[in-house]
Amino acid sequence: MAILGGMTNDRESVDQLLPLPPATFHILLALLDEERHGYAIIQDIEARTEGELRLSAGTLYRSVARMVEQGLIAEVTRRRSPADDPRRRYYRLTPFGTSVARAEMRRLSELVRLARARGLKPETA
Amino acid sequence: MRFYRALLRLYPSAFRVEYCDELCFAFSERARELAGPVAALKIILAALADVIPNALAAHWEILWQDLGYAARSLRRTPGFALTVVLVVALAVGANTAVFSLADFVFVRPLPYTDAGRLVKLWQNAGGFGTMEASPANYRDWKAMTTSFRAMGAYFRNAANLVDTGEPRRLEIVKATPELLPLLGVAPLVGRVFTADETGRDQLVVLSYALWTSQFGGDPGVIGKAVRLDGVPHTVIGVMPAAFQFPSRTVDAWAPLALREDAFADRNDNYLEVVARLRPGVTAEQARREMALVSTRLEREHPKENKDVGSTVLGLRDELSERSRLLVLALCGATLCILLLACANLASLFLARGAHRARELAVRSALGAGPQRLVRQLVTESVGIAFVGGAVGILAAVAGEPLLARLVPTSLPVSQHASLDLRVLGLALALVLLTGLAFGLAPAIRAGRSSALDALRSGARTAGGRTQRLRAALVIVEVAASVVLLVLSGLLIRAVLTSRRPIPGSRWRTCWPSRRRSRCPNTRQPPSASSSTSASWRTCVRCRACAAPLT
Repeated sequence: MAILGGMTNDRESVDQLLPLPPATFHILLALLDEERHGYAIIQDIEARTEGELRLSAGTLYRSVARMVEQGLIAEVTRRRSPADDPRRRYYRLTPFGTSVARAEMRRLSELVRLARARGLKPETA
Repeated sequence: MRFYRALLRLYPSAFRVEYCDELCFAFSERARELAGPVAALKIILAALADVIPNALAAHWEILWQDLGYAARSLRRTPGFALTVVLVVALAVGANTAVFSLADFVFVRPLPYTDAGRLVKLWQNAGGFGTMEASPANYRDWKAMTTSFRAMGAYFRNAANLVDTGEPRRLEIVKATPELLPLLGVAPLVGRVFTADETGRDQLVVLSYALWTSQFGGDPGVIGKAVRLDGVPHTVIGVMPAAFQFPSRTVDAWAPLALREDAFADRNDNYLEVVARLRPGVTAEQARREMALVSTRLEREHPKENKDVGSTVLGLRDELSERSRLLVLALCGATLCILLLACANLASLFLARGAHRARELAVRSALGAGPQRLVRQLVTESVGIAFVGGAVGILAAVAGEPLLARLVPTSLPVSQHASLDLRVLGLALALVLLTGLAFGLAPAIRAGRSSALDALRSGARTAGGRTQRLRAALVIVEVAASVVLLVLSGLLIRAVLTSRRPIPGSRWRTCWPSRRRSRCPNTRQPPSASSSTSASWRTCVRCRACAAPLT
């Protein structure tokens, strides 16, 4: 189901998208604080995961295309500065995307809480 | 970057148009980070690793989306969907069954080791190219030729098996000890007879079918005695299920003892001869050598061997022309059915396309390009063709034994369904071709339609192009129907004639088969001695005179 422009924000629509693929969740996180273009998203994810996750251009834009269709992110039409590379397209998080990111975070936290309740502890390096 | 840009053509066109520049930009940034002596190689590998899996995934996503849409669309018209599935099932099922049969008859290697080097040797005389050989000529061929690594002979016989429950009339092959080893198939249980045992003991090797049906597949049968025509024979081996020689109706093999008196009469022709070519010797070279040997034998025995030549045929070439035509006619008929099915389904899809013009126009107005619409419609037709194809393949598996009964038993066709990966691959290719054949033209036609025109007209009238396409489909249907009709006639004729003996040649085929039958005035089992041979000949003459030739 395509959810256009992030206009649909109800619980059911959010839950339908969960669990999110890891790449989608990371892209949402990359756009939380600011609008970014594709390559900046790749760099941000790589930096945040300390090089563990490096999206290829194809994986990124396939995810971006799907997320735009689902209304999680939207393209920013205005140019940042005249000096900016014209091939760069910037994306921002929609309110629906923020809701989905929050719901995914809640889901993951709940999973971690359940694991901890059973006495499971993360591996120590 | 040119390489990367070229690779981008693997993506779906809509995705490529939308993101081509950004993909190139992001990849060029990445490529800048790749340095070192083999940077160019690294960039190429990175481009391949980036584009290929993602392009495949992008196509898969679209396919999945289109299949879901097609399923919803077809669920709204169950009658149409069922009709298409049944028509495709009929066409693909018939073609799969017949091609698996043709594969057995024409393509698949015979179930013997290095079967391409096995040949059948015949005498030829008086206009008959394939006559059985006399024991004397067989012995001389064996002694005088060097083209063959081994040579064996056999004739078909019959015997009653009465001490294992239900009495059965068995088809037995009496074979010289060279025959089974030269075919290169090891017995499943036990062993085959050797040269030392020929004529000394009454031995028998069972076929797999006889072993399982009469002896319950018990390996303990080896060494036990069974009574064939009242004479005890010791079972020494069982051949594997795939071994069917010389035809699939043979139940057992027994040793053939050619005693000295069997060589006395060179006109006593009843042996079928099989040989294996030496490595490096071609069938043509063997043919030339056999011609020389025949000339020499004619010189040495001018009376008996006058105008007697030899024929060397590959084992697969043994198939009669009528059987060949039967299978070819079946292939032709099923191809016509496929063509008719495609033409009919294309008409159906064309009519459906006209009804869906508004729906397609709305999708087009919402941004779906012509390519996307064509892809959606083709996915729908290929998807439903796959459903029909699956039903057809199951029907083909079920119908294979029935089809195998249509053809003469001399064909090396398995009695059981034989759907292997090659036939399955062919069936899938057929399904794909069928789906494209009946779906592509209507899809392109629908994709070309102007969205606005369709919305305005409400699809009340069909355009000139549609009419022309329909007319072309009608022509194809009529032409395929006529060809199918002709082929059906030929097929019926081929089936009828394959079950009828050839007029005028009955004496030749009758002689060895009559040898199998017990003459009413003798209880002796047939052997190759000249005295019994003469009595059998008398018997055959009596029966041949009594029975009208057809």
